[in-house]
Amino acid sequence: MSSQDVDITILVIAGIAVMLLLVVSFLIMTVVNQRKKSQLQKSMSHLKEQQQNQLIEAAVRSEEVERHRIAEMLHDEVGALLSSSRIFLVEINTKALNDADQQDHAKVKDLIDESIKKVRSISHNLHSAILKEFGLNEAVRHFMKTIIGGTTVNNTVEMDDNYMLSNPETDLAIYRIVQELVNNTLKYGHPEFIRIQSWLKNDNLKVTLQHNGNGLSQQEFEELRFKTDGLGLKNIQNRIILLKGNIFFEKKTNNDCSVHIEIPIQL
Amino acid sequence: MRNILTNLIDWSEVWALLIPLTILVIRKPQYAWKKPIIIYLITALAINFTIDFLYHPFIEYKLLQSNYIFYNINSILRLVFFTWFFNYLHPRFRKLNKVVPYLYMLVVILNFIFLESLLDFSSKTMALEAAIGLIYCLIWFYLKVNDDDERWLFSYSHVWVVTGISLYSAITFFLFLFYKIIINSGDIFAYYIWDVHNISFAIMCFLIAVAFYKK
Repeated sequence: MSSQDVDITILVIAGIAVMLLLVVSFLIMTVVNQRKKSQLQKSMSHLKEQQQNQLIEAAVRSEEVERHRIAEMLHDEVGALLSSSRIFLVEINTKALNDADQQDHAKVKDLIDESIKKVRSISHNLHSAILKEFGLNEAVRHFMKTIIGGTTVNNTVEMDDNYMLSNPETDLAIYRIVQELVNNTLKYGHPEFIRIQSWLKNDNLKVTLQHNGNGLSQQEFEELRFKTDGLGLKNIQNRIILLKGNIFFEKKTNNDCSVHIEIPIQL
Repeated sequence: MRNILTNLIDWSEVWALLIPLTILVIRKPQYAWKKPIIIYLITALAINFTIDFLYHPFIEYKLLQSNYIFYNINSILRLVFFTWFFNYLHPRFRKLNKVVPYLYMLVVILNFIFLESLLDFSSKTMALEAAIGLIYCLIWFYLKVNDDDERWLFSYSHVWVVTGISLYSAITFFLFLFYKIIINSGDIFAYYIWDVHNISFAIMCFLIAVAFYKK
């Protein structure tokens, strides 16, 4: 082998090595760059999610503040006015009135009594003092009793008593979800019975609403909540996002529908 | 054992092509870019089989003195099909392909008319083919670095093909460039360095097979 051949051999080997190094470094550079972009994208989407959650939280909070304000106004102002009206009405000497006027007086008194009840009921629904004082379980029981009472709908409420107050805001959000679901079920589903169950398992509170009315499937829920007029379902979803929970609509048959909610609880 | 290994490496230009073709038949991938690669694999199989068949010691060269013409044809076809493959990866390559393959063909024709014989091993043609293949791959890597896509690079099937072509082109550029000089020197190194070519070719085929496997 001449020295020129040796030089060519070395040149070829060195050339191959340099070219390989070039390709490998380009490949590594591309992979590293791709990873950096992926991490950046992840942190961006995390930030976006955080911002979205903050916006949802602010919206939910302002809604609660507004509910509280309306409840107080109804209770303190409209309720007080109605109570005063009743007092004045009761003080009217009905013996001096004829039969027709006496009947009208009694009717007005009944209507005022009914109005006082309604205002109190609406005010409690909006404010839910029971939730604050007695917790989620009692608030749900009371809500069901109030809303179903006087209707032909049968209802069962089986709440897990192991669940204690975890966080007032969490309880309020769960309560609002249940409220919205029950209201929607009564309004659109026309059920004959509603069953609400809850149980605590592995730091997760599971709430199930079962009914025999016309309910939603998960796909229908997904479609409806994107409609601009579906505010109730949007509120449910927002609260679920805020609680970092899950919601699943199940429609086995037209007369067997359920909504399953799972919320992580920090006791 | 040594004989088997030698035969295996010598014939790798044929059996390596069967790996991606087998995977292709089994997996039936639906990629837009697969067309030029499949055509290349089939034509290369026919050409490489002819090359290795003619090289076989039992065959006396009656019609042709060597199999080098097939290497030259193979190299030209490889460039045509690989540049066509890059058409599917980025719009920039479409612009590039309006010039580069034609310019290459012009250079190759001029080379075979004035400088080298088509029947001889054309180091210039093959080195140019490897250089163009490598430049295309590096351009693709550069474009990939600068795009906004954050998906894991190797989750794309075509990335495996680009990696295969880039490794093969990087290894063979200097090899092709000096191969004629090495042959003429009568050095045993020529024999060993061609094994390097065969191994790199098998690696490229394997990476194409991986690309076909990924659905």
